[in-house]
Amino acid sequence: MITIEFNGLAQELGYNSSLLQLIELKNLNPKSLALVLNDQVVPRSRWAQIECQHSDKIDVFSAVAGG
Amino acid sequence: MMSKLTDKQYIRYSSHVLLPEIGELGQLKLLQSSVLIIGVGGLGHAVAQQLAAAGVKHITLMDDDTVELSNLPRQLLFNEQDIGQLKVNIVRQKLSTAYSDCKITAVCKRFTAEDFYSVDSVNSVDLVFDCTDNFASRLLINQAVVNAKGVLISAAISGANGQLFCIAHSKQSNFHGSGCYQCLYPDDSNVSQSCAQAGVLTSALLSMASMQSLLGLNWLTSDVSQRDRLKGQLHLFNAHNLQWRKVTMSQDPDCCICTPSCI
Ligand SMILES: [Zn+2]
Repeated sequence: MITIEFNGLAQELGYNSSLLQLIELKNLNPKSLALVLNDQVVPRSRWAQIECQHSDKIDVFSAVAGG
Repeated sequence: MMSKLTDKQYIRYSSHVLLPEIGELGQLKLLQSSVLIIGVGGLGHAVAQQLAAAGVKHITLMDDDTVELSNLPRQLLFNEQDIGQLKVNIVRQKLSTAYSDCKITAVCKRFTAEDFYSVDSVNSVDLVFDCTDNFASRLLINQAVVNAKGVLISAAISGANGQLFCIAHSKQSNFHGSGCYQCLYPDDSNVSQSCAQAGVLTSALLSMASMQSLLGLNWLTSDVSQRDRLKGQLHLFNAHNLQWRKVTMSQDPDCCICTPSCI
């Protein structure tokens, strides 16, 4: 297992988990989110290919469009 | 082209001129700048007022909405006598009276696909401000600015969450690196509701509008290397705990809007 930080909270995760698998594990809808990995946005099309690493800081947030 | 401020301008803008990063030269840049503000609601009316007050030469306002009672608590340029009138006309009247250096053009229409194909409006300005209240318009504006190789300053808020960024074309890198709005939110995204639907505190909304204006003023008064540091950053605002966070944007190599194969 590895430990990452997900939206500020520690999260245990199996080895080789992708960003997309993390989102699915958290029961979140990928289409309503943007994802930041260690202070850099990761485009949604890349989530399936990028593996979470030990002590990664991952944050997700929803799109907003109001003005 | 103006090379010196008039005596009256020197007095009017003295608080800017005193700033080492602006000075007379920066104020002259503002007095020669031209911007397009799309959406004249909560964000747009406040951005328009701040830029007009700062001495921006020409502001084009684009919106087809009329003033409603429920707008009044958060759209502070409007009062009860304005209800039913076009927002762009009211804002033009009020700001033209208050800020004589600023020419304001009111365009009473929504930004649509037609504007995207005739990008004159987007081409002829130094900056485009996206102040709209819906995802579909935001995608269209992004596409138009990317195609016109322009500069976009986009802000949005819903509930307590605000987001702000600047993207700009550069000769060296196109949009490579930071990408565009659609790299952040692909067009099949589910997006939270507007302010009218999800609610917002006016002070949170106006904080976003002020940061959007400030980003614009910084851009207009900056040189090329300073501008490199302003673009490609996504600023996230949490109105509950008053925190701002800055993260780096990334281009989606599959983006159908901003990757080199489609521009
Ligand atoms: Zn893109």
